[in-house]
Amino acid sequence: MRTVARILLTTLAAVLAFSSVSLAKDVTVEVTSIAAATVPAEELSRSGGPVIDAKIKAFAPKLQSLFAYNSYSFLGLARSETEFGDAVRLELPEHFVLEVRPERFEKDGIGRIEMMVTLMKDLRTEVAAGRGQPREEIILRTKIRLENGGTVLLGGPPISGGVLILALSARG
Amino acid sequence: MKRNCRIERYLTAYADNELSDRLRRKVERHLASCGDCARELDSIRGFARILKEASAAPPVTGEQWARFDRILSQELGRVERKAARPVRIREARPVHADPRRRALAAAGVCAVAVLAFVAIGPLGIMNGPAGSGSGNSCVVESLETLSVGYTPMAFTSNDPEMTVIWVFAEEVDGSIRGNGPGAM
Repeated sequence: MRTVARILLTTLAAVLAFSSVSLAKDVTVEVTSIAAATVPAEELSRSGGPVIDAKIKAFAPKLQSLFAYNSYSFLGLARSETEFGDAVRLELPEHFVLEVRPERFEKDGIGRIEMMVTLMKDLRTEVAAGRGQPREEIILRTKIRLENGGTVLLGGPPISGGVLILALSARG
Repeated sequence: MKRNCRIERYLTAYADNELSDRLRRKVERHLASCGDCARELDSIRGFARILKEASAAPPVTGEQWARFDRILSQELGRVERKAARPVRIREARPVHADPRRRALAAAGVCAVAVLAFVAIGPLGIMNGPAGSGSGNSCVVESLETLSVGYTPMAFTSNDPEMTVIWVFAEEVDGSIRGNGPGAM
């Protein structure tokens, strides 16, 4: 019986140690990159309606309700963890970079995360080869207070064949 | 060295004047010829004198007796009042003094704590993937661009509840580049 108690206590200690490690990372930031475009009507009729990538089906109702584009393609998913006060850089398609710095957690109902969000584009022509000094252009800098676990959409920068839409989520 | 005298055992009674005349005379004859027993007798008498002086106490006065009676009455009254109060006797409960049972109980508590911790998570929030929550409320505190040719704007829709921050890209001549936010 004592052995069982010891095993359970050891397990508890291990779980607590693990949780303390996981607690070190306060905020999980996730960005889904979407390419939105308007395709010709004949192409649309072949597909039988708006073209929405299966990987972004969760966003489909909101995208269709908010925008007039008829084609949405999944470009990539970037996820990272950071601590309050520390910025995290997420490399996005087409040489875009999103920097997110959670600043504080507001205990308001489910809670809000106040954060600085900066969208940049690396203008280097050699960036694909990884050469040259970074030359980042700040396209957008915003300070937001996002509901914990909520999503905000950032969009507008033109990309090849449409515009870029970013679904930014954060959970603390 | 002291001799073993048979008379020695009568010395205390002799000092207390408790011997018969015959024994008393016999002791006195022995004491006349035995220095050891004479010294022993002196010692016995000295000790008896010390005891008598030490035990000699002053007579108790009437005032002291009255005080004693008063204190005694108070104490008896207190004891009687205490005895008159109902006494509650706790119901006997089984005591789990068995170390095995105590270890099992501790293990149970630990198991529940571990399960609760794993289920609820360290901050009381399930550790699901970010963005899976239903809340989309967002307050835009500030908005700016540091690049020429972009104009950021924020929109909020009620159904679905969503905030959109859109960056309008302008052509060099000032016209909007790209499709804009569409239905917004």
